[in-house]
Amino acid sequence: MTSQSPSLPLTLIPEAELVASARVGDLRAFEELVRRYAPRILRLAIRVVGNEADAEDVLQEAFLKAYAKLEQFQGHSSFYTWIVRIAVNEALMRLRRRHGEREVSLDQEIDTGEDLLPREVEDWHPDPEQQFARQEMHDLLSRTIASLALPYRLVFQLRDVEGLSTEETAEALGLSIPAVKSRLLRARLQLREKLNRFFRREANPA
Amino acid sequence: MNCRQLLDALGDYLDQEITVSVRREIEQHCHRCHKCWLLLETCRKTVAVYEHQEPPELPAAVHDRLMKAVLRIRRDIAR
Repeated sequence: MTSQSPSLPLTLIPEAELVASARVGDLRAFEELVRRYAPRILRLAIRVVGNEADAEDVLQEAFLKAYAKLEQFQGHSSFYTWIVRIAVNEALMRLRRRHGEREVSLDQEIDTGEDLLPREVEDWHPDPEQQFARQEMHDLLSRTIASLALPYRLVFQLRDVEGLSTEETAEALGLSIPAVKSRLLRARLQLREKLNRFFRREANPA
Repeated sequence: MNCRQLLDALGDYLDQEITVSVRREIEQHCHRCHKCWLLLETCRKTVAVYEHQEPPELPAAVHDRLMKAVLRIRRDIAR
């Protein structure tokens, strides 16, 4: 280990040090990056390609590419943002191979401004997370986000789930900043509308 | 501010990227308009429930397959 923190357990070593160690051939450091981020990358890939088998391939390809290109990683962004970008590209490539270029366009505008106007606005349970068991909640949120059209799903996933900034999301998807913002708002409003029937005060937990 | 203008400012409000004066306008509107207040609250909760989700654990087989492939690449690079 070439880390400057030799006494620290791997799990506590900052990302930048792990990357530096991995670059000079420390496999344990790279494995720690895998441990740290692979669960998120797998979830992201599932949300894009829609099934676990393809998502596992996306995950594997993304980390292998990152490993092979570690030398080129400039450190302008975090390793995490970088691997997210690689994984999104891999996932989109796979979708395009399956469905064709046109169907997987991120430029498509699906609905009009009218859809922005909320239909059902009701009071929700003060803490919706208390309403459902953990697994139930996970399944409910996964099903709901899966029902969004790809351009909205992807922007929401990167911004609100993976925590990328607007600028990072725009760069990862090749979109303008206003496009990211307008898609994010539409995605949030659509999800809110879909979750309303589960989280409203009078709702009986499924 | 009316309901339509609130909708336009909603994204920046949720991202806390608005000026103090716009925030004040939103809050004043919400005092008068219960529907918009509920909209703001339920949007905030929508973002929060997704934000709080931890990803499921990576299956051990997936981890092992990946690390084996990394080892192969490493050997190829060394060659």
